[in-house]
Amino acid sequence: MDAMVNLMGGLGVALEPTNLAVAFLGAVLGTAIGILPGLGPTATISLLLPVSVMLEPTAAVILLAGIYYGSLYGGSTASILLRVPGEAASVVSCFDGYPMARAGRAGVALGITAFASFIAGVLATFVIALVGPAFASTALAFGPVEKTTLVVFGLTLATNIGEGPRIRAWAMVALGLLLSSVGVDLVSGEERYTFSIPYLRDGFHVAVLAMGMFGVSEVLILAERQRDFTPALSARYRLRDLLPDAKDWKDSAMPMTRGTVLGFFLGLLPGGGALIASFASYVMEKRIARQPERFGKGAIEGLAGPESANNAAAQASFIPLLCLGIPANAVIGVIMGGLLMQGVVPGPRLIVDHPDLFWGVIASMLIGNAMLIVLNVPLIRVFVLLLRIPPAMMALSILIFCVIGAFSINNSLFDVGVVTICGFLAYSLRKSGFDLAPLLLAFLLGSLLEENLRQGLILGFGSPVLFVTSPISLTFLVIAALTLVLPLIRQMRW
Amino acid sequence: MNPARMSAIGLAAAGILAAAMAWRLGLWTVDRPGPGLFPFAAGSLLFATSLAAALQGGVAEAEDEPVDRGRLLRYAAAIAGFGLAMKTLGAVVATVGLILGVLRGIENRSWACALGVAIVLAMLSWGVFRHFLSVPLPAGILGIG
Repeated sequence: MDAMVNLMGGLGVALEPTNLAVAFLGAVLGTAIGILPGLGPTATISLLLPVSVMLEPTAAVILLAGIYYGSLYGGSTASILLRVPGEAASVVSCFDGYPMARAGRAGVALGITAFASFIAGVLATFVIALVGPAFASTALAFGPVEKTTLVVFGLTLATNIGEGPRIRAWAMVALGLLLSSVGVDLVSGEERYTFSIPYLRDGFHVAVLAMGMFGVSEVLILAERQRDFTPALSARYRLRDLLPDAKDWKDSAMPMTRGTVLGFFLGLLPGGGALIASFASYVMEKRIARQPERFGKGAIEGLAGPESANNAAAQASFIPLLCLGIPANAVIGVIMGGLLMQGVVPGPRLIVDHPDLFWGVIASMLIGNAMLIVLNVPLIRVFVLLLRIPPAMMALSILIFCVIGAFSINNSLFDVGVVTICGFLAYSLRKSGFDLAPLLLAFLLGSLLEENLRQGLILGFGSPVLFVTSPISLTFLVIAALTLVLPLIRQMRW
Repeated sequence: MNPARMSAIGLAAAGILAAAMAWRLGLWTVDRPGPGLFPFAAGSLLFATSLAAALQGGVAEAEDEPVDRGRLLRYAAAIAGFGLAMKTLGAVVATVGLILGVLRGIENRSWACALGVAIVLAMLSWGVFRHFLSVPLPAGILGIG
């Protein structure tokens, strides 16, 4: 009951004119970048970090969150119409969405995608309102020992579920932790890896790193080859073409329900998120289908389930951020960077210290989802026109916003150099099979990990034994160890 | 040697160097962890995992189409040039120059198209950062900013 009262209070915050306007802006931008292949939510949110600082913290997070879940609505459009996923989590929508479009059911595919995302988004919001405070109050009992192992657990999951070989993900975690230690050590006052450069005394700025890693490197990916992307988009969709009929609803109802539940749980896990949720839902639907051979040929269940799952996961991934201070994936990591830039430290105390922000952001998800269904059903034709933007123009726009955006953070040309070099390095890492998401997560969590590790060691008089005598801490360590060891055992059996 | 292995070796070298520098900072003081403990652990982990990745071999992405290296290098030069030109020419002139250079020199677009896009994007970026965010953009030697 308290949750509903708080959610109503949050609605009051979310309905303030500024917050309403930024929720709308986030929904529009999210849908647009979701439709555009190449520019994903991580890059877009990174680009907008300097702009978000101009807003109040609540409005800033509402904007950035809207872009995230908005991109999932829009991402499916290009998948369904062109078999070109607008962003990673929409890959699964190609499997059955594109065959539906080729069979003349593009309208229904676009419609069911929007409705599935909406239903999952609304349900997930209510569940977040119910379980979020419980998460936060549990985490309030955590001391430095538990916090240390929680971060270790989160990073272990991030390496386990991320893209590419796990050993490379661990290398990225290590690099992220190392980068987080650059600057003056706050305890001893010693300079670490600053090479007598005054700029480095404060360490790297998360927005500059994120813009380089996800923005500038994306420009280089787009620049790799000539892409004359002029898709044939002559189809016209009337509102009634987008509305699924009774049979479509019947076939989609259970996949949507299952997708929402599965997506919500996967979204809670560090390292999880929309991409994994959509794949997991697709696999599940195919396994339990009476006619699995229909999958890949236009089965509406193969679209409805994953679409619900990715949206539920995207929203659920705000729980670890807002309640534990642990970003579940790279997009949420960049949003965490936005919060830190505002001077707001996410974690269990957020709900107590900034209840307006916590409940306002959660309530804004209801409003954002309502806006998105309006934007994505009747206005889909308008957004589809964005696919006509040539990749070169998009690359230039990203680059200009990254470079000038990096300068704007400290009015420093040094940041321009950092964002550029970081972009080149990130590009070579991506091309060498290194996933950048664990790097960013480790960078964000590095200082939290170091601070709590040092406190834990002081509490144990230099001995790490406290980390295994605390039951919570031991549980985190055991799960982390199992996450590491179980796949190795499975490999050995094969 | 493939690029994936080379990157891994580069990271391993960075890891061992970082660990050595952290060691000098001190891992432990009288009664508490020193400033070098955490970076030493991170550097050592980077060294060990990167070395293992290098030994494991290359897992570079499978490409659908070959990368046009000449085009990529020209883009890389344009990006680096843009950053350098911001100080001397100022943000607005550098932006116009970047767009004209890329659209004419790399993408072979018409002058009209390149100029149109350059003006629109330069005005948009100036409007957002200078006007809306009040960022004192570098004016350069021409004093336009």
